[in-house]
Amino acid sequence: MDPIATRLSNCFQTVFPNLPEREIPAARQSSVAAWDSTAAIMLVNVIEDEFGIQVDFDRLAELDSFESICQYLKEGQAAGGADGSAA
Amino acid sequence: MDLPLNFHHVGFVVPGIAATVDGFVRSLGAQWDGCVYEDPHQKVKVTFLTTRPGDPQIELVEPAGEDSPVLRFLREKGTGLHHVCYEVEDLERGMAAMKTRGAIIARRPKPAVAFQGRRIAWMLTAEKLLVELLEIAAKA
Repeated sequence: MDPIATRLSNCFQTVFPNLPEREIPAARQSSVAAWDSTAAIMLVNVIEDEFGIQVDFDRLAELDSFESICQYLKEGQAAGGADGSAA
Repeated sequence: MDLPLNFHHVGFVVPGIAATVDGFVRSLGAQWDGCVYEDPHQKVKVTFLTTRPGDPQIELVEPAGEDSPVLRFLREKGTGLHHVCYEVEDLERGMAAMKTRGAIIARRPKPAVAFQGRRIAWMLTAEKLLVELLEIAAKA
């Protein structure tokens, strides 16, 4: 795992403590029962704290998997986000 | 930090306003002005019912589009109570006050069509109560 993915994995462990670490990279809203609308909000807040960014809440619907969030963070970093991504 | 919260309305999610509003009017003996607001920022349609002037209102909330944030609620929990709304003098101060009480941000401030451009923000309390904060005055 690259550094961003590792930090994102830590965020997932915080919000989904019952999700085995090995399953996190493949985690999707559709496959993680605990990933409901409330958990999605909590996950965004944890990610914002971890990466020091503001996530665009309008993009919540498309940030529906570990992979898509990781990609979002990397795109933000490439675009000059302070520490990952930015709204 | 302390900030008074003035109870404004409760939000109730329905699959469609047209199909449900008459039932609410009848059940609550409420008044309905027939106005339905579509808000592209919030991606919802809303309307308000009044039981007594000055009392908190009932807001019926209908998802507007497949990417509406309430559509997921509707799919997860079905028709039901969704949020409570409080008016605050200053939105940022209201959000800050709620954060000190353990709430987290669910959506950042945006103008709301149903409130003539007054800004709203969404907070989730530690008890998972969704709270809408409505700024009393519109920002110029």
